[in-house]
Amino acid sequence: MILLSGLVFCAFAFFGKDTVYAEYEQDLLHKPYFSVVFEGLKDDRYPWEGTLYEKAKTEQEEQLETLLAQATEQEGQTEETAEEPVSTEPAQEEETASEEAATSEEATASEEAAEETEEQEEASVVEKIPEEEGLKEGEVLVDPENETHLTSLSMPEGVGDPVMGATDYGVAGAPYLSPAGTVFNTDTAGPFAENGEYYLFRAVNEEYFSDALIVGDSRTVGLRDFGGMRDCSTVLAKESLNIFNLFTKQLEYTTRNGEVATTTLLDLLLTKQYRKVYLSVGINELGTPDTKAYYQKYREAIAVIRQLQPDAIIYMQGIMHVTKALSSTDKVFNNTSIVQRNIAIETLANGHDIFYLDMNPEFCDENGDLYADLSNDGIHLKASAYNTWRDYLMTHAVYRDANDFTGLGPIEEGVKIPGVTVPLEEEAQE
Amino acid sequence: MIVFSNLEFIFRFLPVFLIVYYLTPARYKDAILFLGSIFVYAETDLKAAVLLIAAVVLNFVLGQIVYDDPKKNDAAKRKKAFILILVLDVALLIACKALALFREGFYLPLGISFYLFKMISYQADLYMDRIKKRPSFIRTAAYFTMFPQITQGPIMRYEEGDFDRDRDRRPSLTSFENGLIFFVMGLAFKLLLADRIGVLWNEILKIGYESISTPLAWMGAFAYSFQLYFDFWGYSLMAGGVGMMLGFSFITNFRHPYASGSIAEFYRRWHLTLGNWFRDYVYIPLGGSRKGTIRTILNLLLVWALTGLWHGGTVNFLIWGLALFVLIVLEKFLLGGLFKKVRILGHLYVWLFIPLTWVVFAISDLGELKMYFERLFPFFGEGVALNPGDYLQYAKIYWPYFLAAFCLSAVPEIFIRTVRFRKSLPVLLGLTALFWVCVYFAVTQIGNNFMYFSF
Repeated sequence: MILLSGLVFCAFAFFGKDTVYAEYEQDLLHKPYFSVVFEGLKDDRYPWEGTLYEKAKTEQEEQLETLLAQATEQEGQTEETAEEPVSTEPAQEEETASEEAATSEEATASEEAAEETEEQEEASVVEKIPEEEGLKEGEVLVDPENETHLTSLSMPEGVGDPVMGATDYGVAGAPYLSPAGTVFNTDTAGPFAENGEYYLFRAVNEEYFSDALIVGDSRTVGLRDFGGMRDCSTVLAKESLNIFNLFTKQLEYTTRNGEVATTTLLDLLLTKQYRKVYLSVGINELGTPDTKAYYQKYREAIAVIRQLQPDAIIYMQGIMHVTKALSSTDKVFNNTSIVQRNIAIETLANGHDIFYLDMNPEFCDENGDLYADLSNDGIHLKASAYNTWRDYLMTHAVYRDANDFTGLGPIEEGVKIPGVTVPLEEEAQE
Repeated sequence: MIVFSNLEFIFRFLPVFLIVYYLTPARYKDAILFLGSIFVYAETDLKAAVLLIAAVVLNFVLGQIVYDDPKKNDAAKRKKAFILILVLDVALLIACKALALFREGFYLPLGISFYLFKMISYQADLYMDRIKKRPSFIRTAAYFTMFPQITQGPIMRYEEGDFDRDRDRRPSLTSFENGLIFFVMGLAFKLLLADRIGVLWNEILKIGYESISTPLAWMGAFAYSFQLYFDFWGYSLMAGGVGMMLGFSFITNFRHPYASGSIAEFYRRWHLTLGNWFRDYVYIPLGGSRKGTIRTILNLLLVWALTGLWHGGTVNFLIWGLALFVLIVLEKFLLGGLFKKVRILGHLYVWLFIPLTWVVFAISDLGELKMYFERLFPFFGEGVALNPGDYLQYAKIYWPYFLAAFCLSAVPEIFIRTVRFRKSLPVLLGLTALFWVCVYFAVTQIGNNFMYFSF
């Protein structure tokens, strides 16, 4: 009977081979002929759908396409209107700010800002790892002593966290990486306009997350359940969320008021407005080629979120690294791939309303490997480690004006809002 | 490829091998079995295959001396050869286990614990004259290496495999059909129960033992127990099934242990071939229970300490074996009467203590183990970063698997009846359907590269 039904499945596979299963690969040495039928089932493709498979687009997907088209259109317009592309590097600006201020009275504002930065040193982490200096994206630095490859680290042109590097153990699968030397569009403005303002991270309390939306995969599920985010924020998360199904996958929605529901990110963004959107995906996509595709999709996603949530600060959280045990053996789950992808998306930050956050220094050793005692499976934090992540978010918050956060109390007339520097244009005039 | 639930095994190696095997004249079947087994073993691990062949040759050569030939019976020489090969086999086993324990990056050669136990029993059976006919090289080699048993047993005896008969093996269509039925049942246990429930255990590991609620800790203990049972029982059924397809008789490795009324009984029904091995080659030669209470207890202690260490060299296995020893001794001298009178108490006791012993079995790090027990019995303080509702969340997902696993474990009748009526149309249809569901899981999990896509 098994033989008989096997023949039936083979027949399905045979008759469907040019139509339903045209996209599936046959590997007869290792898999039976009818494997495709089952692979198809998993993707909701059935043998009786005789015609060339073309998945009917759902309403949502069409909506998404329209939105994306609108977003890119706007982007095009901005580029046209921006006559003089801003070439200043805010990060460097910040470093030299105090020197400049000493010679220029008018620049006291930035001096103040710089001082405040120093005061909040703990709050604002702008790290630079020496090895990274002078490197371009995609370049690989060889550490002659250890003969290991340090994946290149590059300081962003926007403000935000630098991407934490990691030792390359040489196991990363080539299909998942972009070829060496690939340059991602590093225009600071990203696809977005820039008016020259930039912000520094500062510490806040839990109240800051009350109007935030935290979106992510299984790691964010952990942050929600064990890091206490369920109680102070709105979380939309589910395992296996990735940049490709970001808007359309049904996710678990929880609010700090105890509401629980199932919805998609697109539906939520269309119906509710948030002041902050935290995005954390990337680990599930490591097995899909390649960095460039990931970057492209991420860019689109940010554009759509920007479009739908005009007032929100968008936080792109870098992919958390994995442990050495994985990173040194797994061709998919290794820090080489992760760092490359983080470097790619980090270029989308603009220091103005889109920020890149890298929690990895909190969780990783000097080789950029996730501390082994923080994770049992090498990928997910143990429940007890999630508080560190929440604390990290609480000390890396952007505060643009009183609308972002009321927890600090009213802001008096004439008092500089901490963490906000003067627009670059003003400085340029000096 | 040697993993039975692997598509490559089911749809590539097995059918091709069976066709070749069936077409081969009866007297060469064992040779084909040997060659095929070495092929799939070497395909998995070439270095270990060299070791395996060396062990086979050595055991055969010395076994020829150990064998009692009526014509030239030299007792002293036989004894010397027997002790020599015994020491060699045991030393090899200990050396490999120790290396795996102390040297990073050293993996235990595939199935070594099983095939060395077969070798030891073979020598003992030769020495005790239980093997009636002088073994030929091909038969010995086929017995040691046969692929249905090389990785995880069952530890079949040479005689059980009919290797010492004059008659050659002649598999029939009926034996093929029966074998296939057992194979499919085992496959379903493995893929649809063990692997599914196993996800929960991994989930708990992911969270970290210090952060699970007490109900979840208990769910975890049962999840691991079921996973282990259906994984191993499933594997044994598949091994037995493949054996039947090849013309061997079915080797029973599990006889519904969870329906037992005591832990001693549990282990008479759990992993039978290992239990019997220890009984026949350790416990009874030491005098069993015939030399007084003290000797009996010492013999039991030795058997259980060895059983623990056989499973692995870490301390937790020793604790596991000793815990079972304590429980079994308690039963034998104290509680046994009570459990016989009030059957239900015995059953409850089994269902309570067996999962606890499996927790010890599962967690090799003692610190972690302590932590797990603190969550099982939360009298020693609170957990860290607890999510108090966690068990409800998981109960919602896993209850069907728990229910199915519980029914199959607690009510042997379900399985027994299915086997009895295996040729009836509904059972055949059901099994066929199950088979394809299994294939679905096998394809979608191995077939795509994103095995980890469900984080």
